Amino acid sequence: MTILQAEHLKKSFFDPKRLDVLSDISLTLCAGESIAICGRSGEGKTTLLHILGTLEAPDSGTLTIAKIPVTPRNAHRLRQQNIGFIFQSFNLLEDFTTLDNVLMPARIARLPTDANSAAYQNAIENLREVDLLNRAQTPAKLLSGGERQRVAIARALCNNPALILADEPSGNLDRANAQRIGQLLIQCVNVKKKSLILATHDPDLAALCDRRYLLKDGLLC
Amino acid sequence: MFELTIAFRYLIPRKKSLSTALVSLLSVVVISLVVWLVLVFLSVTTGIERNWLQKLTSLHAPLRLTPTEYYYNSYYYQADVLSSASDYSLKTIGEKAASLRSDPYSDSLDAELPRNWPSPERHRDGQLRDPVKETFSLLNELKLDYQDYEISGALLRLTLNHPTGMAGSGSTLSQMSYLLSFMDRNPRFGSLILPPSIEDLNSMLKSGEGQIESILSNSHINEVCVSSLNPGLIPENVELIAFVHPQTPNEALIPLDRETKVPNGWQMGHLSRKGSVWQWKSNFGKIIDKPLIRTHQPLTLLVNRLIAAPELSNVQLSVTGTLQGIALQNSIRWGDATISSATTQIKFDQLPKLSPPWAFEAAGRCYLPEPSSAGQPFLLPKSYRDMGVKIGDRGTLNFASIGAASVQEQRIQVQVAAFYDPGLFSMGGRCLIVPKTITRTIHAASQTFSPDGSPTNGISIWNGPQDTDLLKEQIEESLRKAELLPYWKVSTYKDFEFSKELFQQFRSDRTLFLLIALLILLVACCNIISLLVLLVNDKKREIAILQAMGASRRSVAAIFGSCGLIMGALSSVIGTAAAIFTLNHLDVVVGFLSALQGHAAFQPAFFGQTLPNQLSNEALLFVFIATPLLSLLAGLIPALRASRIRPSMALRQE
Repeated sequence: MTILQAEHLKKSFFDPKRLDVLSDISLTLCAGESIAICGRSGEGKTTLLHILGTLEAPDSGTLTIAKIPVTPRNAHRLRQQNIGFIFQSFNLLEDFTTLDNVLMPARIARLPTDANSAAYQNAIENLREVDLLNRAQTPAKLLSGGERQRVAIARALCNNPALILADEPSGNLDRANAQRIGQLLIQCVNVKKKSLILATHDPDLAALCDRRYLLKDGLLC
Repeated sequence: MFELTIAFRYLIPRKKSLSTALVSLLSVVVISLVVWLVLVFLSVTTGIERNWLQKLTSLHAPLRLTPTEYYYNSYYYQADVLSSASDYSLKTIGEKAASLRSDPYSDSLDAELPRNWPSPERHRDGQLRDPVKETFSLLNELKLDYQDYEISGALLRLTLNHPTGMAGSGSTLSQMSYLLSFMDRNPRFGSLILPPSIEDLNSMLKSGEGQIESILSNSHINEVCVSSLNPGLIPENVELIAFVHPQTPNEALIPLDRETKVPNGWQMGHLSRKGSVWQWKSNFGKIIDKPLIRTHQPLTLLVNRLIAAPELSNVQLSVTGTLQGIALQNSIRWGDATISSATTQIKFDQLPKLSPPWAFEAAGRCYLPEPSSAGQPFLLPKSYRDMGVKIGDRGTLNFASIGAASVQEQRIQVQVAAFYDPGLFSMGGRCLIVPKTITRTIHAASQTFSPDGSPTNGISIWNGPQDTDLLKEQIEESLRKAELLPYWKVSTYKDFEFSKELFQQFRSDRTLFLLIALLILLVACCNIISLLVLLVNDKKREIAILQAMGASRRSVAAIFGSCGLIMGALSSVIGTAAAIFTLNHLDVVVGFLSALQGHAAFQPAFFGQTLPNQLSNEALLFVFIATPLLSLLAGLIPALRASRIRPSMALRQE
């Protein structure tokens, strides 16, 4: 089953000269499939991921997620239900605890999050999988870099999305932690049978994915 | 709602966002201050208006029925002028109600009716219509509390016999006055009657022959002051310091305490008693046979028991006190005692056995004391008390009696029976409450109209003042059905000529202040805009993270809108708590303001002795709707800005 289909996506920036970041991107991702997008810094990996994650609209081209064409009106709902984000700089809500961060997507989706709810049990399970159950009530600002990224993985899995978008998940970590996070991410995705689009310049991490693309001159090759 | 949770978290002050915390604190303080000011001002003004309205409607009733031109031009009203049975004089509503015959005119006894005389209105059975009696029975059917009133005018001349007060002893006070008939059925009038003061009691006791027992039995005397000391009060074998003047050796002046300095020309010695013999010890010891012992200053004695008697000199007092640290206790005669502390009764559950010589309320009705040889009892507005007038003072009501060939001055003897609080209305200081016999006498003699031009009589209806408009409609409808409406004009307290302008002024003042308050509140709420703009800038990344997790633009706007709402609600609560505290300690605030200005901050004549301190529900409603609403509106501007943040841009900036 196709989870994501992108056709002829184009994106340019004007800063101040026109810069064609994405020239013509077409991509199809099936359920349970993982792909890695490699490329040098500034090639547009993050822009592509933001467009695929509906955070940004392409200049042209079509994007379909879970067979639903993305429009500005349904973008946030598609993100709520189908997409989990993992960022390079973790992007946790500093004022909240680890558990609150993991449960936040469920709260945004207006799902019940009391102790007996499915969302809560799922969050606990995810925290256990990333080995942070003992840090559930710790404020996010007190966590280390590795811990924060593990919370981000647990949070991305909260609403049981079909697609995980990870933007340089190990970019801000030391080598040991980067390796651990990479393996954990791939493991989680495989166990839970999620689709994954991973933007990275780490060839080892990219090697763990089913398919690998190189983004160069605005084209996937 | 996750929006509220996040809004709460954002508003908690944090070290790293000190500027946001300071602006947030400032906004809450400013809005709380405005809320406090609005609540205190509106509560006080609403209370003043309520008190004023209560006094106005207690005196003049919330509703009035006044005769129309149609009534005055009717055969029913005019017939009395030509009827010998009516003594050829027009009748008031009360007299019409009491008369046995609706049509006093007799073809055989009275002169022929002029040609242009109004034709009588008759029922189908030929009976003359009696609009007064029919209206009274209609009001009875509607189960309303009502009574007819009469208004007249006369010149009041009061003789003041007191050395105290603005006027001197024996002076006369003259004032053209407005006379309102005493309405004993007025259920609220009792609340306006002021109890006799200590000065009133002392004055009445001095001049009130035959009233001593009724005065004392309806008062509770707590303390009296004496100057000449009854020897029986001083225990035997006790030495008191006393001063004696060489020229008046029989008169001893006893200071209240032992440290008092000896007056110039006096000698100090010691006074003691053995039986009925006083021993005077000074530098030249001497025995005084029948000394006159006075205290240097009036000595206050606590009254434990009082045995009343018809004569003041026979009144027995069981008293206790201290003089120069020596306990005094004995039973004494009244002598030169003056009351220094007492309470008087003006409200009784049942008619008292011995009625007091002042106006009182018993079993829901008001009573005037019985007329005495001194004159008819009447009530004065409380402003007369400040001029030195006391209960029991005598005077005359002078009016002109118009005869066929001359105008003669007539007098009615009157005696002050009580003071009442007229509240705040233009005629209040000159409105005397007199028995109906006086207004009728003046009406019969001169057919006067009241000074403010309103009709001389009418019917007061005491129901209200809530829903007076509805009641007015009901009465008008009933009168219309009974074909009596042409005879009467139904008016509420809002239409009374003498209070209408003041009432409107109160309302417009309040509306004006509400508008100003709204404006100040709006300016105060603008602080919220600055705060939330800062907050939005501070939380850009978090907004983008929330959007990445699926938060809609509306949710993001709701977070910052909620921040405004929470601040408005919090400020309302703080401001309300401060307002309640201020209202509970209003006397302290008024005292402070008065001290600051060097004169009374709020004139008692206008505002009353104490300012009302009840929190106004209307003001509370205004604050709890306007403040959060304005705060929410102020929060919407930054909220919309927050909702327009592009998540990809915000995330990329990291």
